[in-house]
Amino acid sequence: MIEVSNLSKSYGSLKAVDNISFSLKEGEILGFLGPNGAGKTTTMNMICGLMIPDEGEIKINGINLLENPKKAKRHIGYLPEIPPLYPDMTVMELLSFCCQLKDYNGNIQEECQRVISLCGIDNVKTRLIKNLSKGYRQRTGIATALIGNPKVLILDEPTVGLDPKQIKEIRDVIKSLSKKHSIILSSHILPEVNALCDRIVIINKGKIAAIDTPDNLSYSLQSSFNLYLEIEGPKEDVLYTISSLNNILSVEAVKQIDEKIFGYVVKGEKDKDIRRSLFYALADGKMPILKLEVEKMSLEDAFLHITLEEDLREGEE
Amino acid sequence: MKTWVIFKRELRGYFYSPQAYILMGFFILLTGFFFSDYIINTRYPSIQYVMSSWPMIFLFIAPILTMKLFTEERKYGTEKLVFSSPVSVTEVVLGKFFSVCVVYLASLILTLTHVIIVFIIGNPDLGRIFTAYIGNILLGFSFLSVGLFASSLSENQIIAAIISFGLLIFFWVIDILQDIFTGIPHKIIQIISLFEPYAGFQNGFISLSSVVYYISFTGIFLFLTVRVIKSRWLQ
Repeated sequence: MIEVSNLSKSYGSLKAVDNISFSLKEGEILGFLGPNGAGKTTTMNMICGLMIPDEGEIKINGINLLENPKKAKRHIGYLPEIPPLYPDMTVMELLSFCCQLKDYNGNIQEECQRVISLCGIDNVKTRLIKNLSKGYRQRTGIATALIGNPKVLILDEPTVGLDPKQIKEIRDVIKSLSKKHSIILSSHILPEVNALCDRIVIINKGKIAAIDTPDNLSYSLQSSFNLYLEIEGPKEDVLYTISSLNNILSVEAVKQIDEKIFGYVVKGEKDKDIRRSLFYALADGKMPILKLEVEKMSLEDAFLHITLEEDLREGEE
Repeated sequence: MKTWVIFKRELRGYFYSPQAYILMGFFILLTGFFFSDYIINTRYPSIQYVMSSWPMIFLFIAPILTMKLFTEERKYGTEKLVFSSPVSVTEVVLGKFFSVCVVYLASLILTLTHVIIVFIIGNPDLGRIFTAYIGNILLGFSFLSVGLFASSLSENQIIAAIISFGLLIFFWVIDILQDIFTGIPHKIIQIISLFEPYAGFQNGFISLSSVVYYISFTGIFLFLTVRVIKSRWLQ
């Protein structure tokens, strides 16, 4: 759907986007992740034709954006960070304005109604936008991006400033849209990206630091197989039993839960599942396992790891 | 043509808010005041002399009328909506310009009441009134193009209004000062003077050079507006 190759953009001496290449497949949700000022919005602005890159090429649905901007822009629906709404218009008026702006050929009323139902803003469609709540404004913003059924949706931090209920609703809307649209979503809310996106691009200082699925990202960065256990029995015996097993890197009692119950963090070698051997060894010693959790490196850790590592490497250079 | 789409939206914005009505009311109030003052004092039913005061009134109104055109777009982030759509900057600039021109024309239409009164109580020179109207329209459009340009420079309406007011005052002041200079500076001021060609329309002449002058002046400021917007976005 989108092919971006060797994209660069500078503001004066600051390189905001530095030689970025990636692609968006059909029906995919691609997450843009990165610290503030990493170049996410600049990249999105370039894909939407709002800014012209210094170097590089953008193809949308096979059309070169720089050579044929009007044609390419027809395939894009863009929701900027602040939803672009005219406060003096009603929802319905704004959407019909968008239809005309985006060269929609069919029945404008029907198209507006379709988008309104999709975003759940039926009950506010005749109200002035300045009187709408933040959640409804955000939905109306998404509705403007959906007008004309564009193949690609670009959503810049779509859930920023919403309450948890609204966030869930907007996420559900986005999830349902991915069936018919390819979506690029930027966010710095990691669980959101994790929950919604098929693949993630981590951008740091204008460069792509990593690009993969959320699971792979967190897995590839993990150096050990980590478990948290709660075991009943004398602490010394438990520590001795566990540390005498194969493939164990370290074991540590981290908290006392009861007189006889302690919580432990066990690190095993990566790619070696130590749960079974742990279970049998502890069962033999009459030390029952009351709780067992596999600790995955969260996307948050992965993100911090990648961005910090980049910073360190740059510092060394 | 997207100009039409933008034009409709802007015009709607003007007439769905009190702004256009207040400014039009202000314009008709002041022109009416000067008109009645002239008639009462001179006992002579004429309008074209009073019409020469209209550009001075409009010089104060034009900055306020145009200040929101691009500043609001920037404030609400809606320019991202517009420019990520298949629309060219020129189409947007023209749409906005034509919409504000219509508001100005509507104000001028209201002044036709003065003309009707003059016709009822006297026997005025229709030709001179006509050319004076043409002059007002062309000069007014030039003011509006300056205002549109100023609104593309800032995201603050007040600053935009001050910039356009400052530019218009500049053109007015150099017109007054031209007699101080002699030789080449005098000639240059005469060439760029906004008000110099207006006198001809006032006296019943439509000269091609004056018409071309005003159209070029307006065109240059519209072109500059397009350049400013493009330099901010599409670069």
